[in-house]
Amino acid sequence: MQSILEIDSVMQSFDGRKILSDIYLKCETGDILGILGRNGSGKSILFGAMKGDHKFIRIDGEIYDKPFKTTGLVCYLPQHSFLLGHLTVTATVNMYLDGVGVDAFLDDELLGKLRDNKINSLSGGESRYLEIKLLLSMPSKFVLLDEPFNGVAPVMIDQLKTMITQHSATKGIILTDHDYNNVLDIANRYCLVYDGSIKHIETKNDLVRWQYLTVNSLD
Amino acid sequence: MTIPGKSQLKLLLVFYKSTLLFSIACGVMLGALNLQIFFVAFGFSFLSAGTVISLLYKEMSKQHEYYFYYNKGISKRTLILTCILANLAIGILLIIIGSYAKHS
Repeated sequence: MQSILEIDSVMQSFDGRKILSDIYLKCETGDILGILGRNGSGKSILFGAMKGDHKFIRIDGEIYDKPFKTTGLVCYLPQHSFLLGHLTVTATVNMYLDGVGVDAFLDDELLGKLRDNKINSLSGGESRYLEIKLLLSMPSKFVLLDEPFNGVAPVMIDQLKTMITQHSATKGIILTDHDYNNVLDIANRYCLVYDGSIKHIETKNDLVRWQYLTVNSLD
Repeated sequence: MTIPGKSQLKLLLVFYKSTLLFSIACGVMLGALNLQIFFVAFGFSFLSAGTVISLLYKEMSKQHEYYFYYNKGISKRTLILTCILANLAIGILLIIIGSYAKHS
């Protein structure tokens, strides 16, 4: 079923400086929406708004005050690991998937070896991989990924990109990452947060135009 | 407020258990000061300073873990309220038991 997430009128300012100004964003099932922006441009604030800090979130035409409270709507991957260090990998998966499909989930080259390990013994990349796989496996309509490739080895990034692309068939995915090449590889729509507003990006040249990339980085 | 499902209750228990270390430590420290009223002092400290310190510890060093519960539909407010109410119930029970034991 096709779902639509819309966020409207996002405004934010600090000390009189306008960070975000009247932003509207839309994501549908099948979308991988890549959000780019320089440090301090307001990407994280925008993500915070989408996960429920903002009052104007509409999903399938219905306005939600706290979308996370309704199971199956929105999942959020924060920049830092959210897993509980004292639990094992299997216990974490069990808890998140309510015991359904746990063996199939752990039937994975990487996680299969780590199933009895405690979360706090995993490397940053392993932990990130587990978090993303968990969120994508949940029955939510939309997944927000804030810097999913941060601290992850290139080989694992490729696996994550494949996984994100596969799950976009049934979900809407919004992601941001400073490694813009990875974002551009998998996203089918892109936008840039620039000077408090959203610029829709068609080509890499647009990223130069809006001062996200230099001309030299196009080579 | 919606009634939590079985999986959410399990998660609330996981959160509550993770706050117990500081609550119990506070209770034992104050209780050990006067063994004659150990239960009363333990209960009082458990529900007051113990609750505050364990939640402050979460806030200062484990803040990102709240998203673990968020993605399963449990808000930070619900987690904190659960912890306060559970500690209040256990603390009051211990105070009552302690007072009863002292007078009998």
